[in-house]
Amino acid sequence: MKRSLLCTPVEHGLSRRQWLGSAAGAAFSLAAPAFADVIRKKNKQVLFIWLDGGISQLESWDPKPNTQFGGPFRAIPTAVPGIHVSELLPNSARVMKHLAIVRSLSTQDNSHSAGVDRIQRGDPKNRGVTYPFLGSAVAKFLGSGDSGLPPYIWIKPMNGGFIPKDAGFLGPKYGALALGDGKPPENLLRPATMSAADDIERNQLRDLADKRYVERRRKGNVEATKQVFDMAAQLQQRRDLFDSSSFAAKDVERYGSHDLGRHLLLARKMLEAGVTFVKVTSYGWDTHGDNFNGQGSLVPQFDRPFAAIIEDLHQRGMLDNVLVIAMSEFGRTPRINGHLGRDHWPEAWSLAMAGTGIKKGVVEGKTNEKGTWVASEEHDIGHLFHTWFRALGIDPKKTEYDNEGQPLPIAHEGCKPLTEVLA
Amino acid sequence: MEFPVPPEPKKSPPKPSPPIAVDQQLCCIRWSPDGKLLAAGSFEGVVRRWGTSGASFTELPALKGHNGWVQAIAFAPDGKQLFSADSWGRLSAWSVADIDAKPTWSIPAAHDGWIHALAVSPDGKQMATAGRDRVIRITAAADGKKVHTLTAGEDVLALAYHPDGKSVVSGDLKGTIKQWNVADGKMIREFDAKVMFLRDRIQDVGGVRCFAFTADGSTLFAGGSQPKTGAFVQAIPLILAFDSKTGSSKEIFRGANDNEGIVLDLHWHPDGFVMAVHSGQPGQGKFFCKRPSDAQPHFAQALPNPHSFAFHGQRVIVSATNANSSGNGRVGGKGEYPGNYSPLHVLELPS
Repeated sequence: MKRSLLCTPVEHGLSRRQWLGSAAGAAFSLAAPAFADVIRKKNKQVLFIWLDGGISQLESWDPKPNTQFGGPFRAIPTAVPGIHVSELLPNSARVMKHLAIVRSLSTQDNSHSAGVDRIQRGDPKNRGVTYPFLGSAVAKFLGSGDSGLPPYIWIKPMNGGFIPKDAGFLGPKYGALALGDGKPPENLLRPATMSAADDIERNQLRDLADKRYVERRRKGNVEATKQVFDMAAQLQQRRDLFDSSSFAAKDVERYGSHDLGRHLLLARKMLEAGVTFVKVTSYGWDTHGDNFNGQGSLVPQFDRPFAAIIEDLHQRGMLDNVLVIAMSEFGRTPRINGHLGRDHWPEAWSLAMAGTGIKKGVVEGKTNEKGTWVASEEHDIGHLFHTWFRALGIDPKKTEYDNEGQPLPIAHEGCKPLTEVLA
Repeated sequence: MEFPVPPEPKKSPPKPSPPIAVDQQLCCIRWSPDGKLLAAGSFEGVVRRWGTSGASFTELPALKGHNGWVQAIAFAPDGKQLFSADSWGRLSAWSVADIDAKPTWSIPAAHDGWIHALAVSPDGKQMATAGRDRVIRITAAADGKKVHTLTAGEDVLALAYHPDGKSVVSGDLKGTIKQWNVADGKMIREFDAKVMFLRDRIQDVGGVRCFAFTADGSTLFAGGSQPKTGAFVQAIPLILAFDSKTGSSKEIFRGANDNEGIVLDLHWHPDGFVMAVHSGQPGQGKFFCKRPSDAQPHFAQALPNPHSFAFHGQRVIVSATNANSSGNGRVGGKGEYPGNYSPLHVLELPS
């Protein structure tokens, strides 16, 4: 008999139904450590900001002003004495007391095609299986919580849809629900010409067909299909989430009217509604040419809404439960090419994070004077996955995946958490 | 728009000489009016200098005191002063005769941040500077005191004085050219160069990068590109000509494709043609000369990554980043990391 795709510790195997059933006696459950753990984990959330193509560490979190490769921009002080960032991040500098910067990333891939997947799958050594993206992993471990909403929502420019590939070996049901340009999935609402009773009837018919179909076949795709219909049903109850008119004009101004600003403002709403993992992607950061005007245009448009959402989550008390991560697939070369650009540089780059389980106002790791190499202990993406899981209350030493009977670590066993940034 | 037709230039290509080695990347290169001093702003906060005599170039001590990039430099028309501006906002004046290289004056925060452009008035009495802080500062050349501050409203990438000295034009990232009355600081009119701007995803791309006026001021040339993408920046190099009286415009140069990049420097040659460099994908680019009325350049010299050039008579010096300047990931073993550099290519135009 094949084992289910559940991670081995019992508490992670609790289904939503089991959990809801247990919640009837919540007062008693809270007193029990095992259930308290589950509840604590289910309340954790993640905001994952993906700057696709590669933000330049030298024009953001690790400036090297007045050096050979430092570029034209200045470094500015932050709210934390001794920590400086690029002048393109004045608002992030203001909220530095909430942030942790890691300047010692040294990863494996210098191409987008390999880097985007390997970084988001946390698989630095490529073990020949397709690991889930962080969003799918968190969706599996933490589920939907008590929001009743899809656990992994991806807000992105352009098209949306259900993206099963993110789930890797977990199976398509842990894929991402992508909201193209922040809009609800197409055809989400029941057509006006169909009655509610007819809608229920057709869904019952579909369920019946699915059950018969799956009896002699692999259940993954059918589960994913059911998941999509379930998501649609969940979202139909929360159409208010997509009502952009509900945002205060002041917030729209603070976040910016561009894609990244609007999408981060929507992400705030999704987090407030209880979505477990919200990924926000911004494309177009691959500045091989005219890097300094390019990053000079892009970085401030990240800086404003990033600082705004950090402040808003803090003011709402949500940073206690929400892990915020802002990163790319790699950094950019210190060397400035003849196109006045910077190319791909996985050797020494940076990311920023904040929130649950993360120390506030710290920098971990350092690069050398010119920013070419990591001058402290290097950290691969596996180290970060250990760190993030720990920050979310998931112990990578006690938890493992079960890939059709093959036990696999949830974070690379050759890596360890960055304890220096864990609260 | 009709252009006067100057004498037919000779078709033979410029004669290249061995390049002058420079161990840094350079932003901007200019020649003193008498042709005896070549100056170049660098990516490493200095102004490099070479004494020039005949075919020889002798490097002089660099001018220090700047930070970041020295992207904008210009000589006074009488050749006695050199002005330089950096990406941290400092504006400095230097006596050309002072071999010890002390600034005659220096304003540490003339702008808040990156100064992209600097132009000196035809009478040499004042200069205009502009950059990311979206203002144009008019500064007295004698002592560095501020005369005016003009609100440009956008990130200004290019500046030029009209030859009559009464106005200055600014070109910005969004493809707008504004003409300003120097006396009262008021905007006179706008020219439309929006073709040089693209909003790609969330990136502002392109912009008006350089200017040149004909000697009589009747035509303004604006260099830039028609951007096709952000990030990688695919762009077709472009030069627009604007009639100073009517404001009408005409495209006088369009590159062959969007790998050729951006026109980054532009001059008017007294013999009646524009000279320009464009730099596209790493390793590509060219210096070329073109009469406005001609369909094609009469000279085109391929060079890797040219960014700026200066000329004196028939001699042209082009600053261009070395070939093989790009690449993902490490170059050589860990611990080694060579930077790029900008050799100076010497071209002799046929007289």
